[in-house]
Amino acid sequence: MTPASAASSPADGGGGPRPSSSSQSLPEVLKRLGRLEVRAARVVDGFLSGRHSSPFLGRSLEFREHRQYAAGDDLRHIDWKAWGRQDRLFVKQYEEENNLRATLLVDSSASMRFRGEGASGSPGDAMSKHEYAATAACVLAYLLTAQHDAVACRAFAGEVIAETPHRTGRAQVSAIADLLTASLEGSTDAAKTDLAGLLRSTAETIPRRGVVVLLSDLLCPLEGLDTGLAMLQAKGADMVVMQTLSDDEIDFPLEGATRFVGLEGGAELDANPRALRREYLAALAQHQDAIEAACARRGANHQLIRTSQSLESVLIALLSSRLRGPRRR
Amino acid sequence: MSFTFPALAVAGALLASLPIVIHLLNRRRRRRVAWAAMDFLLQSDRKNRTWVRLSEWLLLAARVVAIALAGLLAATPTTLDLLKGYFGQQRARHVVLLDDTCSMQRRGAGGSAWDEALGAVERLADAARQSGDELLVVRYADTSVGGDVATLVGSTPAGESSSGVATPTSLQVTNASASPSDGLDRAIALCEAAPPGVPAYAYVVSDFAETALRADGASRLDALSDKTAGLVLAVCGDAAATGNLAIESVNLAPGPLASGVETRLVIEVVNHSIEPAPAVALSLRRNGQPLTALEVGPFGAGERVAVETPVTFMGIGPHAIEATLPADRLPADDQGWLAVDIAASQPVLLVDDQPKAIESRVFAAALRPIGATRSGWAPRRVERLASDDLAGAAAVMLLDIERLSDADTQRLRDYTADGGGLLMVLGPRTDAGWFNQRIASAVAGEPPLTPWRLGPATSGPVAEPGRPVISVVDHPAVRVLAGKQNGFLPLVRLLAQRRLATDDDVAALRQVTTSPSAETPSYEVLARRLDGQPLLVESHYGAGRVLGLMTTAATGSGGSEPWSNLATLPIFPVLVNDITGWLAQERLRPRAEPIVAVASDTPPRSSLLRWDAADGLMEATPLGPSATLTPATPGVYRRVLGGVEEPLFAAQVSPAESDLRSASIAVLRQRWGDVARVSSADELFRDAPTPASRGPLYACAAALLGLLVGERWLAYRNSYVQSAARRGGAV
Repeated sequence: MTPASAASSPADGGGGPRPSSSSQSLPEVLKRLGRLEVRAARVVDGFLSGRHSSPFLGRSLEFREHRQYAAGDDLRHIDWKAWGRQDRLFVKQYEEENNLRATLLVDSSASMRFRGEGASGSPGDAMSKHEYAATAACVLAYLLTAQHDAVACRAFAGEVIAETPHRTGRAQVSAIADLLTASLEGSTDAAKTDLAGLLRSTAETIPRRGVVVLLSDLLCPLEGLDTGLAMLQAKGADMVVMQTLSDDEIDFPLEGATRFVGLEGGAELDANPRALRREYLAALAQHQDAIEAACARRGANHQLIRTSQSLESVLIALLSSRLRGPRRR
Repeated sequence: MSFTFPALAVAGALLASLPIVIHLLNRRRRRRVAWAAMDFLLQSDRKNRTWVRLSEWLLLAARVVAIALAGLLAATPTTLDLLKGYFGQQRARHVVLLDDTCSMQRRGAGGSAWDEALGAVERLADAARQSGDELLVVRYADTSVGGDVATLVGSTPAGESSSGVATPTSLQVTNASASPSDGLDRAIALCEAAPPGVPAYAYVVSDFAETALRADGASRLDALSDKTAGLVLAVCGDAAATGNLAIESVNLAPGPLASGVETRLVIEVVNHSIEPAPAVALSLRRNGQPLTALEVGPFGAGERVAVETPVTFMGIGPHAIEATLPADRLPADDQGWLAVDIAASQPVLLVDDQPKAIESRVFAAALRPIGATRSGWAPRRVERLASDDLAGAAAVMLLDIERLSDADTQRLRDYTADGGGLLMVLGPRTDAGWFNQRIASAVAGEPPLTPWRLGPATSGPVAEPGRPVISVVDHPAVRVLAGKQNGFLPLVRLLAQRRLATDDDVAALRQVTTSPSAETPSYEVLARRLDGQPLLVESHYGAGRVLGLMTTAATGSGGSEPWSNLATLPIFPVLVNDITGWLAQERLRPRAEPIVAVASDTPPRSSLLRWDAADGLMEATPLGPSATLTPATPGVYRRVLGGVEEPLFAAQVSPAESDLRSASIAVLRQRWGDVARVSSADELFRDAPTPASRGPLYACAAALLGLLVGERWLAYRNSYVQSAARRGGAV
């Protein structure tokens, strides 16, 4: 699968105009998304009682299933109506509802500063990948806090640059927004993304299973991705990988004599983009295949997002797919 | 190569640099793009770099060459229309002066100069045939010996004899050297004789060797230009390729020339090049049988190298030596010949009027020692000089004679002037008065036989033990005594000697000249006493050599002690043999002639006999009334004129032909550009109105089209813009 086909194009998947930093401001997005209900597709455990199903059966009012009675079961849970109909003893089991603990991992490395040329062909007119990812992170934080879930955020580049602990409440959204704004300024050009270290420390940090959302362009060596996801998987986390790339990076439509300057490391290359296009796209496709494979292997939900896509449509598609997804006991 | 529109050629050359300039400017106009996924770009660049760079360079080269080629075609090389107007306008006469001398055999990368010349004549004949013109060919060498005009196209002009040569390929190159003057005169005459209203065009097809168009030839070329409607100089061969080794001469070192007597062969090889040449093998054959080959060289630029080897001719009669170098640019001069007519021995006349003839006996013993050793000399004592004796004598020695009769003196003068060698041993008996009047003075308008006069006797120097009393110069006649450390010099003792007249013993006279008519006759002192008194002097008279020994070898005054101890010395036979060989060299010198094209009147019953290893002398050419007396090919010949056999001689290519230095087209154009069109014969006349002749032009145009197609494809491949690439356009 090529990156271009994996990510819906602005025309067919976005359902809206190509976003720009001005038209896709955080309040507007939040306003459009506020009516949605954020529900994790998987079972998580939490401290607070909420609207998320728990793998632990408890005393909540939501019936889950019947079970054959066994010696020692609490007699209060016997379903007498079923005994009356079938003349057999069944025990009622209920799901316990817990609060969600979500962790947002936002890539703030230099490569995330890349912004395509946008619809007008001017680089200043488009959103950078970091702006896009930060906006998406804040929207998610807003939605999670709105349903009383705890959310934390970690901005990383070569290492974790800044982070906020899990908290609930609307103030946490502002804290995350401030953190992400400051994080880009804190990263350096030479800092390359260290996925393995990030995911390992995240797995060590989160005490219980929860949702981990990774927002990154993943333009880094992938050796650490599989390992990190495996550690999170072992922790029982629900993993969402939102890979954010520019249209230019996915389609490589550049023309004319060009001097490419690397955002990370500063390497330079004088080239004819047309001559490089085919091999470039092949290398990118190979890279994407590796990401897909790692995510599939570790049960992570991978989404390739173009910065040209409407953020609203992206989040709607993501949450809808999670609601439709299988639920784990 | 010149052009009809040279400005277009220059413009094409300048425009050809335009793609390079644009390329350099584009390098400065690269857009700068910050990029995140650099690893993928670098990976792609690593895979494509070689082909991308190569195709970019190819594209640049294709554009440069295409523009240059277009400019070249637009400029139209003049060879394509050099003869524009010569053919097809009206009926015309074309006269070709064709250089058929030996240097035209020079080889080049694309064949010989002669092949180029024939090709040009052939194309010219095609053009003349199609235009209904007439084409006459005059040759350098052939004309010099009275050859006919070759009519290639049309009819022979009235008053001209024609050999009726039908095709250019029947024209033959010669080994001869010839001046172009006769051919130019003939060409001028033919152009002048063109019918009224018929324009005449002249073409000189030659390698234009530097010796070819000297003063008289140049003036004739101007005259030819005046007599024609157009003059073309077609240059054959590569003027820059001059390297050529040639055998300049095959000769014999001084010495006897007799059957069974060893002599030395001297072969001179010249490097006619401005570059050094490596050593080469020189093959030798004696009477057709191979001898040991010699290595000759290496050669410096223009250097002449001589090699010597002993050789013995067995048997009386004609003998031949053939020397051969490896074939090079001019094969004809890689062969040298030596022709000798070997006698049983060479007579040496010892003129001695003393009753006891002691001096002559000593000299005779030195020249022909007793025993089995063959010296090759046949000394014979005579008292008078008979004509018959002198005719066969290799050398004559006057051994302290008192005087000769006037008749003998005159015969001696004639003999010497004809190349004979004369040794005069001047002792106590020689009459100085007679000598100075009849020998050292002009007689009957003839110059003196010797430039020096004889003086009185003088006593020899006092010799210190172990110290020499004489010194000698480096000369073949006295080589046995040459060298400061020569062990024989201290053995020489002089009791007395004659000295030169005081006025003649001056430095101004001590310069040898071979010219008998020189206004200041001179001599060279070959041996002198340590006090400076000349002992052995040499001078020339006509073609002959004259030596004067101022002392005797074995006799003294009135039977007293000899004036010198020369006859008692072990080196005396060697000294006498060397002197005799030196004196006889001119007389015994093998005859050699360069092959030149010169017509001469030949008496009836004349022929040329060519020597052949298997068959001896065979008749090669019966000579007509005005045939050339020179053979056509190198070899050994004998000429029979009016039934009388002449001595054997070797014929070989003239050294002038071996020197391949020629005027370049640029030089010729500078000199003759005002009066003639100058071009390479290989490029000339390719404008013949036949489709095939336009082949190079069509090939050039096809190459341009192919180049443009390739350029389009490469431009598509290397385009920087996708949309432009789809259109097939280029950036």
